[in-house]
Amino acid sequence: MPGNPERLLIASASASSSSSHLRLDQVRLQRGMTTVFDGLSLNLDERRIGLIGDNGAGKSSLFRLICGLDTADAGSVSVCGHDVRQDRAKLPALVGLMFQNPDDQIIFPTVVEELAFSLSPSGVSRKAARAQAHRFLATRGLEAWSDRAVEGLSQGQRQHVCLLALLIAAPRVLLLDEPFASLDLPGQALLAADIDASEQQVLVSTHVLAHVRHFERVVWLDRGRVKGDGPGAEVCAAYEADVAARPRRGNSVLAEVMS
Amino acid sequence: MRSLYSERKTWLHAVPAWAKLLAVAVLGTAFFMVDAPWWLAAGTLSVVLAFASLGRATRPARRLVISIAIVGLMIAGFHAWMDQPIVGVVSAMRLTSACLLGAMLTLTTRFDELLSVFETVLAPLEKLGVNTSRLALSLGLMLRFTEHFFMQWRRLDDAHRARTGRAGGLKLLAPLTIRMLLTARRVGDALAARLGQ
Repeated sequence: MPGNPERLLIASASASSSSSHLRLDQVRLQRGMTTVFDGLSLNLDERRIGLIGDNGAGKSSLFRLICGLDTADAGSVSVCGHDVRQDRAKLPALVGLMFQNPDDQIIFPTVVEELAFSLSPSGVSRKAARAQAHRFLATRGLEAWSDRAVEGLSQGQRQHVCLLALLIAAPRVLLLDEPFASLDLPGQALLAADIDASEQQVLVSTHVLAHVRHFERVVWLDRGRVKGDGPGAEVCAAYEADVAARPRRGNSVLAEVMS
Repeated sequence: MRSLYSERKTWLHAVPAWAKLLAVAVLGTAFFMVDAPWWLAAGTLSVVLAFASLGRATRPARRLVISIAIVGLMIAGFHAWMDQPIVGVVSAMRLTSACLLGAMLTLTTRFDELLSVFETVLAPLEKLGVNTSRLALSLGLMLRFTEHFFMQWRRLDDAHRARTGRAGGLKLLAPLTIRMLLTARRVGDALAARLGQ
């Protein structure tokens, strides 16, 4: 909250810049009776940015705004200088969103088709797209995956397919919404390595703080406001301290039930 | 979205998608136009044999086949009870063959091959200014949702079984509808994010 002593602000992280990759300016977002954001302004330029906070803090909504799925009621959102409302058609080439559940994202029954589909906004023919998807998988040593049915893949592998489907479109920004939520430990390690290796700017929203602690910047959202913003280690520690200091409502309810 | 597509290659995987679609359309219509029980029986038997020839690739559709068999038997039983056994057998055979033909198409055809067929068929509309690739995608998604509908029902039925020990039946209709609407919205979101529309 503004003026809140707990708020951490690192000057360099919030320095305004016209070449901002992602820029939110006085954004207000209303969903039904709830105000999700009111006057939210953020410049997101760092290569790796973590997004943390309780459920309902607005992490997913922020992603939806950035990729144009939700429209701000007031204020503006721009990606690499393009306003998301005016340049809607250019967005897939600029920003890719990975959804929480891979099943919502994967439309095609086989891996190669799913990847090829990502190339369709760029106007590549279906045949060329498929050939490119084959090559893309081959360069990653995954050519065996091409013809596999998505249905036969594990949850972690499906998540990986989603990420590959984003990467092949080569957007400048990747938004990963709770990417670690349904992954086993090896799956998490693999995804973390993928994130570290990708050349794009990557924003990760997560409850698994270990995955963003080393990020150069982490933004802590609390009921639609920025409560902490700065180097990963500091912001994560502040968030953990805040959660630890909260009254244990859950326990008291349990105690009531028990008595 | 979930799918029934089988990665285990069969002879039918190699048949072009347009030929399979055409066969489903022609045979499906024929089964409903022919009334002679013996012809129908021969046709149904051929479809069942063709389906069986896919071997283990039919595994994803096993539950589907079982439910078709149950519904077929119920229809036949109902008509037998109404003293019209022939009508019952004829209806059951039509249902079985139509469903199996559809399942064979789904099990062995990639989605983008279907889209190509739709796009070719719709090509004349392009001259009228219709965005045919989007139209083809919509038609294709309709088919994908039918498939997804079945998979979703299976999952809900499993959950119901695990908790009550019984099949869910009609009780699953409401949760299934809600799930399908949610999926439709999320798939719509995913498409919007990826296509920029």
